[in-house]
Amino acid sequence: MTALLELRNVSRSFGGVKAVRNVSLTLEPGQIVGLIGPNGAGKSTLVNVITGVHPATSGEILHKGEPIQWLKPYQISARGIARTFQVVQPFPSMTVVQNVMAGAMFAAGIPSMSEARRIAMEHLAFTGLADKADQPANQLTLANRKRLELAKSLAMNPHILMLDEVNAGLNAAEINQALDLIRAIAARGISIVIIEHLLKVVTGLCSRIIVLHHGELIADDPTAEVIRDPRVIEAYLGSRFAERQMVRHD
Amino acid sequence: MTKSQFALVVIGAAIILALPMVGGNYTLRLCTIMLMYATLAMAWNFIGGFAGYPSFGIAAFFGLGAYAGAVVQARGVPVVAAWAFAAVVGSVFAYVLGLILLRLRGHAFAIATLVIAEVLREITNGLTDLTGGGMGLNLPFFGWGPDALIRFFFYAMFALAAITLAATYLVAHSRLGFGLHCIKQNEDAADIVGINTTLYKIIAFTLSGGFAAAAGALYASWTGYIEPADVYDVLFSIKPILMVLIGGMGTVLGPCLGAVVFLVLDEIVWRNFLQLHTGILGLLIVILILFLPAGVLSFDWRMLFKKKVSAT
Amino acid sequence: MIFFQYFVNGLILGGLYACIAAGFSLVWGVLNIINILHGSFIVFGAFIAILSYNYLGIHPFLSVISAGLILGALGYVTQLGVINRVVTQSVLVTLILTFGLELMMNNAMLIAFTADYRKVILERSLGVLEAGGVFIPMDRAAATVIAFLLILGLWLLMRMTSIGRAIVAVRFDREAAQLMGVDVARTYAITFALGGALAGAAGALISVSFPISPLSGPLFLSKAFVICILGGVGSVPGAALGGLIFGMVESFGAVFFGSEYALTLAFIVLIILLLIRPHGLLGVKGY
Repeated sequence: MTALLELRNVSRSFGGVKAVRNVSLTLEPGQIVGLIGPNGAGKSTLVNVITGVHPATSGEILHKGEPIQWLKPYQISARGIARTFQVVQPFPSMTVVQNVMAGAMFAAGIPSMSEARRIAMEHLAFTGLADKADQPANQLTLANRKRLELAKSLAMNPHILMLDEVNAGLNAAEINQALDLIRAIAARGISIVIIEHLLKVVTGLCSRIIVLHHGELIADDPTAEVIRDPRVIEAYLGSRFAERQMVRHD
Repeated sequence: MTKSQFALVVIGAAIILALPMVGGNYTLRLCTIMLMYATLAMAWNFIGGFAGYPSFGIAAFFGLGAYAGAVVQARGVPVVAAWAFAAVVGSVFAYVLGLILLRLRGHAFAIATLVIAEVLREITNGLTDLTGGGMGLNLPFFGWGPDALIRFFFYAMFALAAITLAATYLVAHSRLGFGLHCIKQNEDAADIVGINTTLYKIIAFTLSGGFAAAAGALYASWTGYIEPADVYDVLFSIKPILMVLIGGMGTVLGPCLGAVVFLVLDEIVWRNFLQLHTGILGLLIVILILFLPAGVLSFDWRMLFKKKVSAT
Repeated sequence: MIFFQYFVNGLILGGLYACIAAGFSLVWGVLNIINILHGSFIVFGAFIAILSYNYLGIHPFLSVISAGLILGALGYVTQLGVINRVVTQSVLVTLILTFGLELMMNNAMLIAFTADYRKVILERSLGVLEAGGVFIPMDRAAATVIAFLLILGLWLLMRMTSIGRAIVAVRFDREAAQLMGVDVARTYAITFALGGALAGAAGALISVSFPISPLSGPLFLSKAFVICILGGVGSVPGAALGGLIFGMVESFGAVFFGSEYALTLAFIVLIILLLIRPHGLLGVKGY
C-alpha cells in the first residue's frame, strides 16, 4: 500500500548551505508526527519544500504515489496538503470569515461564495472564532490569529496538515487549548505533522517523532524510544547531558 | 451592489445620456474626456487597485492602442472594428508583458512599467513608415459635421466606460476579484491558500491593458491626429492613478468618482492658469497626495458609494 | 588607437554620470523614494553655473559649491516640509508626489529660463590636450575629476562622520535607529539635501560639457535610473561603477547603434537587470 506522503532523499540547498540533507520518510493516514530539532535544523525548510514554497534541490516527494516535488504551492494545496506558518500569515484587513473562505474557495475548490462562507463559519465554530467572524483579521490577539490560521487551513480540506511552531508566543493556558484543538483535528482523520520546540507538547501529542539536526534526519521512531535516544539528547541538550543520561541508564 | 449604489449608477447614466440634448458642445467634450479618464482609471484599478501592483504603464497601453487603432483605420478598417482590434492588441501585449514583469514587485514593478511607455514611444518614433514617426499620424476624416462627430464620440466613450464598469463589477464580485484582493493583502499567503497568483495577476494586467488600449484607440479617432509624444505622455499613467487614489482603490465606483473630481479640478485650473498649467497641476497633485490618508479616503459620505470586494 | 579615444570619452562621461546617479541612488536607498525631481535639480544646478558665469564671471567649477549649497538647501526644505509627511507610504504615493513637485519646478524653470539650450562657453578654456593621438578636452576632464572627488567625498562622509552613520542606520532599520536617539526626520532631510547637492553640483559640472535646458531633466533622470539599477540602489561605489559602465557603453555604443536608440537600449537593459539582478552589481538586497 502506498504511503500517504513519501520523501526520498530530499535535499534543499540555499547557495552553498544544505538546509535539508537527504531526508527520507513516510507518512501514513491518521498519524500525529512530531518534527523536532534545534534551531536551524531545517524543520521549516522541510515543510517549505513539501508545500512547494522552495523546490527540492534533489530527491523526490510522492503524494499517494504521485510525484509532487515540482508543483507550485497552490497546486499542492489543492491536493490536500496544508500548513500553518510560524509567523502567522493572515490577510490583514479582510475579515476573519473572509480569511477562512479563501481556503475553502481556492484550495478546496468550492465554487459558490455563499457555500464557501457557510463552510467557513463551520470551521470558525470548530476553532472557537465564530463570534469574531466579521472582525478584521489584524485586530485579533495572537492566540486567536493562530486559531484563524488553523481554521483557514482546515477550510482547505486537507488530509495532511503541517503545523509550524503553532505554540510560539502562547501562554500555558493557550497552549493547552491549542493541543485540544489539534487532537480534535486528528480525530477527524487528518494526518498531522507538528514542528515543535516544547518537548512536553510533542511527547503528549505524538506517537512518533522525527528528529532533524543540521538538515539530517537523525531519528524517526516511536516517541518513547526517541526521548531516550542519546543522539537526540545530545543534539538538543548537549553532550554532557547525554553522557549523564547514558550513565544513568547503564 | 446595494440599492442606493445601483440607483446612483442608473441616475448617473441617465444624466450622461441626456446631456447631448441639453448640453452644449463644450460640456459634451468635457464629459467625453471624463468618460475616457474614467475608463483609464478603471483599467488601472484592475492591476493597481484590485491586485495591488503599482503599475505606471497605462500610458504604454494607451499609446499602443492609439497607434494600433489609427494605423488600421488609416488603411480603411471601419472605426469600431479598429477599436476592437486595438483592444486585442493591448490585451495581447499586456499578457506577454505580464508574464515577464509580474514577477517583480513594488518599486521594481513600478519602474519597469514606467519605462515600458518610454521604450514604446521610441520604437513608435522609429517605425516611421508604419506610424509616421515623429511627424505623427493623421486619421481619415469622417466627413460628418462637428455636432454629429462630438455626439458620436461622446456615445462611443460612454459605451466604452459602461463596458469597463460592467467588467469591473463582474471582477469585483467574482472569485477572481476575491483572489486578487487576497494577493494584494498577502501574496505568499494567497499562494498557500490555493490561489494561482500568476494566472490571476496576468488576467488583471491583461484587462488593464485591453481597456486602456481601447480608450487610446477611441482617443486617436476622436482627435484625428496623434504623435508619440502625445499619446505616450506619462501623465496618462499618473492621472488615472490619482483618480483611483481619490475615489477608492479596489472599489467598483471609486475610479469613476475620482475621475470626475480630478477632472473638475483640472478643468478649473486649465481655464484660469494657462501658462502655469503644468505647474498648478503639479501643485494640485502634491496637495491631493498630502491630504489623502494612506490608501483609501475615509470620508463618511463616500461610504455610500464605495463597495469593497466582500462576501455576499 | 580610436579605441583609446572612445575609452577616454567614456571615462569623462562616466564621471559625470556617476555624479548624476550618486545622489539619486542615495535618496532611493535610504528614503525608499524615487525622486522624480532629480532631473530638475541637475538642470537648476547647471543654470546656476551658467548664470553665475555669464553675469558674475564665476567659473563653473566654483559654482559647484554654490549650486551644491543652493540645491542642498532646497532639498532639505522640500524633504522636511513636504516629503517627510508621506515618506513611509507606498511607492505609488511617493512617486506621484515627487512627480507633482517636478511638474511645479519644471514649469517654473521653463518660465524663468525658457526652453532654449544653453551651455557655459569658457573664455579661458583649459584647451585640448593631445596625448598619443587621443584628444582630451581638459575642461571636461577636470569636471570629471571633480565629479569623482565629490563622490569620494560622499563616500567618506557616509563612513566617517556621525551624520553618515546616522544615515546608514536609518537606512537599515528606521525604528531601531529612532530608539537609539537618531532624529529620523532630520536625517531624512539631510539625506535628501545631499542628493540635491550632488545633483546641483553635477549640473554645474555638466554645464561646461553639454548644452542644457529645462527640457533635459527627464533625460538625466532616466539615465540616473539605469545607472542606479546597474550599480545597486543605495550604493555610492555602485553609482560610481554604474556611471563608468554607462559612460563607456554610451561612448562605444554610439558608434554602433546611433544615439537615438541609446536610451531605448538603456531601458531594455534596465528591465532585464530588474528581472535578473535587481540589487545591481554592488547593492544590498531588499530595499
